[in-house]
Amino acid sequence: MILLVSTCKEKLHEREFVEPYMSYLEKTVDVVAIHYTKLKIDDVAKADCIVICGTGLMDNGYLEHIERFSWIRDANKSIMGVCSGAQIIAAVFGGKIVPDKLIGMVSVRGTLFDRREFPAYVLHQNGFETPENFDTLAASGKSIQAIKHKTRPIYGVAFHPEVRNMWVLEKFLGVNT
Amino acid sequence: MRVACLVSGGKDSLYSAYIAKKEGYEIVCFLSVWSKNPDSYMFHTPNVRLTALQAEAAGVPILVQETEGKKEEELDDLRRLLQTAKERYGIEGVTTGAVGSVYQASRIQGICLDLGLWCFSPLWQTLPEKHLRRLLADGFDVIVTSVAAYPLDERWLGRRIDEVAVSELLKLQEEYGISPIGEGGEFETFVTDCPLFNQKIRIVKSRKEYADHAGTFVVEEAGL
Repeated sequence: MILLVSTCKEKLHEREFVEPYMSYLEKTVDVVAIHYTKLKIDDVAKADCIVICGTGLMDNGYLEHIERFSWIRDANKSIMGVCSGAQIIAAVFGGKIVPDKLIGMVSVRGTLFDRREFPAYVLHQNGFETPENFDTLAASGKSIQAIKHKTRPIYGVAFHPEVRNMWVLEKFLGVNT
Repeated sequence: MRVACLVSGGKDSLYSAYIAKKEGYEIVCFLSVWSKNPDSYMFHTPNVRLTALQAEAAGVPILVQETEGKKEEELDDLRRLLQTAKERYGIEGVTTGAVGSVYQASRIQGICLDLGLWCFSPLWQTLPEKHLRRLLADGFDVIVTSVAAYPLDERWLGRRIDEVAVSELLKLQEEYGISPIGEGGEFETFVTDCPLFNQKIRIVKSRKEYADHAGTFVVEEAGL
């Protein structure tokens, strides 16, 4: 079962940032979407893979509630954070969230699931620094685009895979099996 | 939240406004950019002036910005429109009908952020077949107002998108690779009725202009 965690302060944003994953996955697998404020330990326990979805540019609500994501530290699950989700993962593991305004298509370079270079859609006011026990997998210029925990299947991507890069989700889901 | 809805008159922008209202957002006004450039990258042009009639049908005011439609300069016109909406109506957010155009989305997103406005595109990345079926199920009366790709021909101009049309569009996607929702600019639409409207829009007089698989259904007269 795949758990999508919404970080959206505004319900209308879930159509843009959670729904694309839901529509893509629900045809073939069990998937459930839960807002981070309503998430229970049981929901995390039941999931095989967890995707923490992004949110809109004006939305910084999640930044004031990083403590509600402390479950990430001890969850023995595959987790991928998208944009705000990646910032949250970085913060939970002691990394810094930094101002970094990026809107539009950028070229991502590095090695993410064997892809070395690809165009990606970014939409954020904040970026993050790679936490101590994480590797930097890819970047675009000075902006970190992908990180991975050194030993656990925990990923953070600053760009939005749901726009033209769903292969990232596919590869991430493949990691677990 | 008080939102303004950017509308072109077509199915995507109107359906996005409908989603916003359904989710409990207050539609304060419609916003529309009337481009004099038929090849505008940003703003869809066929019959865009009819958005004023749609606003009337929906019982909301509309703010209009005319633009020459010069690439990138037309963004200043959009910025001006959003700024005016903020000052006059106290809007906090904007809805758009953007589905997959990164070009459109990133530009609107940037302007909204600069102005401190929330930006919502509820149809972002929507699956085409799902979108078409929802339009029908939710009572949207949509007609095709322009075509620009083979094999969409003159027969499509003014045609209502019903179950049969949806099946045909999906088949054309299979055979020719066209987007069944016109995401590649293959066709444009106009909404004559939907749950947002208190009255239907009647097309009184129209004409077709068509040559080489590109054409427009020009509405000359319409009313409520």
